[in-house]
Amino acid sequence: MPKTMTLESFNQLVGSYGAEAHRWPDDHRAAMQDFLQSQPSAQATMGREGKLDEWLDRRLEAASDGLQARLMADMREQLSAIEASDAPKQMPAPSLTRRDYISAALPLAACFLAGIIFAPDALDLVLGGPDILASLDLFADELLPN
Amino acid sequence: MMTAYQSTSEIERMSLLDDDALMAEIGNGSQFAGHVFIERHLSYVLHLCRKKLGREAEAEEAAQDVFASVWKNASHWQAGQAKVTTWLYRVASNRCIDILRRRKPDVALDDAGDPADDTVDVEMAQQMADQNRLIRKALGQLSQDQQQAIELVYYREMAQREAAEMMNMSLPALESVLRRARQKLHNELAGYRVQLQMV
Repeated sequence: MPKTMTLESFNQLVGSYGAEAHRWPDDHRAAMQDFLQSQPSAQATMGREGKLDEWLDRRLEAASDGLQARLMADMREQLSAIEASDAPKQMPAPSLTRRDYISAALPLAACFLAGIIFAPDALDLVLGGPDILASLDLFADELLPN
Repeated sequence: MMTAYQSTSEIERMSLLDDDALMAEIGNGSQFAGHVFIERHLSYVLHLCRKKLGREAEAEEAAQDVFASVWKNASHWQAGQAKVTTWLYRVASNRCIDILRRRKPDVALDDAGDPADDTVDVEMAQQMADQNRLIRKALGQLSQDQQQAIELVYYREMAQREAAEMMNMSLPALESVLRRARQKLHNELAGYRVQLQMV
């Protein structure tokens, strides 16, 4: 216990216990209060630590453990229900009937038949038809240098 | 099945989200988001209910109803329409009015305060919630010893010798722990002077 209060010991005590006198150690309180009256320089520490005390008072009182436990249990129950309802559901694989196979095969067969019938004419038209060759000759005469 | 490590990191991830994003996660059924939401807003909601109702059991009942409302409505929450804390304030106020009416059926709505017109109260409540969060975050940065010392000496107003005994340390050691704790709090909170100055 310091016999006489100095600015350093005052600052240390206020730096530990804050600016509220009721939190100061009983055996130092009177000396600290006297020092504060007589030393204007002590006010700077009081202002700084008083501000922190004020800020610490802004912490709101916590809830009881019982309430926290009840809230957590409610939350788990409610949210697991949402999670379960949102989970992707397994769709059963569709079973194909004979009719499905026939209706899928018919358009394919029609395309195949049309290919056999019209392919020679189509190829002739694109690659070797006499009209096409005549047109290409005319085009070449017009544009290409002799 | 998640391991304890995965759960912790998931909770840490959720605690970085803002309130709107947290509501979206809750709407998708995330229990981690629900956990963080309770931790973030419970003391604020409970404080409002205590202030309006004055009775602990009723305040807890109201707070429980408010959170039930959150789980129920989170999937419909539209980000940007209102602040989550404003909505919580309104839900809490309405629930408190219901409880006051149940207590005394002829209580006038004005006596309990009309939350719809009470914009000043809403703003103050939001600031209180934000400040509470800042203080709790700063306190969370302290070491275990420092947190315990502040809790005992500051919040529980325990005599210094008793606190030192409880923490199994000498009085000068307790003073040193407290001093370092307060210094760290000064540093942590220095950047939030403007927010902490309000109200």
